[in-house]
Amino acid sequence: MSQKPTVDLGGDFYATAFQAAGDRQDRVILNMGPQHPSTHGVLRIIIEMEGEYILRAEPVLGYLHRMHEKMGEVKTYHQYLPNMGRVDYLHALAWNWGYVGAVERLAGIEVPRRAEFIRVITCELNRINSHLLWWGAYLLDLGGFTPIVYAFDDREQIMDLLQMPTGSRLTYCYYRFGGVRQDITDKFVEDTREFCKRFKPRLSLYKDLVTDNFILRKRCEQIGDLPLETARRYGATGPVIRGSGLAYDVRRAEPYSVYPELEFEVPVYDARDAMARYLVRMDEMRESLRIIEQALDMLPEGDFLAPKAPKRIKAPKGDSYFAVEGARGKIGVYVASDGSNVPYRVKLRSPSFSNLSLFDELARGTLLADAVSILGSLDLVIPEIDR
Amino acid sequence: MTRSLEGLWEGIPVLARAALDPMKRGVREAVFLDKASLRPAAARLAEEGYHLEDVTGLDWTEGFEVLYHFCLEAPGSRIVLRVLASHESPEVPSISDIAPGALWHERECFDFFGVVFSGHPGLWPILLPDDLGMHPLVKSENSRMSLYACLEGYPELPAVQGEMYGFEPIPAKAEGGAHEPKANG
Repeated sequence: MSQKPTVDLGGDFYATAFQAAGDRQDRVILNMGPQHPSTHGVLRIIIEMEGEYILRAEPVLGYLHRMHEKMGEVKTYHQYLPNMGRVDYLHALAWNWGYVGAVERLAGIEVPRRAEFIRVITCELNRINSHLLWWGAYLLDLGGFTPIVYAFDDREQIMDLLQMPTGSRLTYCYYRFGGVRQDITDKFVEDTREFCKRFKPRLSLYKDLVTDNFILRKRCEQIGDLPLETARRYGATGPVIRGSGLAYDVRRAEPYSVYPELEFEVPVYDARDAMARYLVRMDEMRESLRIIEQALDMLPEGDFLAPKAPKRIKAPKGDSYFAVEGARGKIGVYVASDGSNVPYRVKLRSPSFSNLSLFDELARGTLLADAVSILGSLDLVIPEIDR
Repeated sequence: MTRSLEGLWEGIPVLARAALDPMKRGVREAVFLDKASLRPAAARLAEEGYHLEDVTGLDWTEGFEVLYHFCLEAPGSRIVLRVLASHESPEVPSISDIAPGALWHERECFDFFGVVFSGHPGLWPILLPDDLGMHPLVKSENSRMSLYACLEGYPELPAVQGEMYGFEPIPAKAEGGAHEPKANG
């Protein structure tokens, strides 16, 4: 930043700051985004290129920044709940869970067993929904148009399901401190079973038609090599680190709710490339189905909301941290309380933020076309990065 | 991963430690440090296989507190490092060369609080516009709370004397009985 650009090509603060580091004039600075279709939202990346190869990449964030953390400090505990559906619109229920979990921990609120199962079922449905959209959109990036239509067909069904208990289709606000907003109905249970039955052969279909496709393999295999050590140093989580060979899943590593009672595998692949991350997500959908089916079988009777759940939360002084496994990795919510009905501080740890921060290291030396593949394989949700 | 939890801070001056119940707090241990021992402490954790989860700030009457959450891939292993910086010159050494994950988290903290991470290779705004000219999470004088009021919730902490992390001194031996962590819940 202190160094003056050798060639002043103009541009805004970031472009100028980025150029300054380069001293050669035969290199091209390319601005990708913030409206580039493969960035899935408004992410901008400035890239320094030599020929078709990337030398350096700098993601520029903040185009979708809404300062959720400030809103957390001016709203009461309950008023802040709807914000959580808007941090990550694709896996809204995991964020719901992260926040209510942190507050429950702080205020010492017990959650009834039935509510825990309802949370698991809805959260896993939401995870499948998120992975499906990623899958469709990723293939769209790579030039395959048809899969997204199939994905939306399935997504439509999941959204119909989730609409029953939550009342909304995308930005859910369903979990409450001490349980959930309303009970699930028999129809929901029945339809969810029906969906599981229908979705399993669909996954096999996707494997045969898409995953085994030669062109897709060429675009993903050995692209975006991410060593485990790099992933760990950057705090990458979720399918990104599981594609690098580490079975790190918060549901297992730091068990919460009733996950310890449920049987499921944590899919891991050692290949470290975009394909490994792809396969992790495809396997995860199957595991989520397994979890849902078990949870439906085990669903106990009882309260969906703790009868003693406070209508107005006044958390005691202190702080707490709660982590859940979102579709993109570890979601962490830190809440500090001054004893009033408004949090003193809410910190949202977003997994995509950490996952994207290693993009520069990952993209160096790759072709620009592969960078699109790498970017997609990280599964970015921009509102979650920008918060 | 060679050191036990007890010997984790061997050779690093620590102002105070509080062993917490991970089931209640989500954190196993809170470690209060002065700025000089932050980098060695972060390096020790990185050495032991911990990964950085996030860097975040808190605005208290006493100054800006910067929190570093570290975690192992094991249940109830979260450790938080806490460092206090004054309002007048909020400066904390950067740990981005130790844990590159901090690169963006520190920039975010700089955006929100104006805390300067000295040694950071490019401390530019990351989420906010470069010409905003304010730090949105800085509280007004009268809405600030005392750090020690919040710490009342930590019965495990040694008593506080004076300001700026003036805790009762820790026994010279790191394995001091009073600060022995509880069994993981």
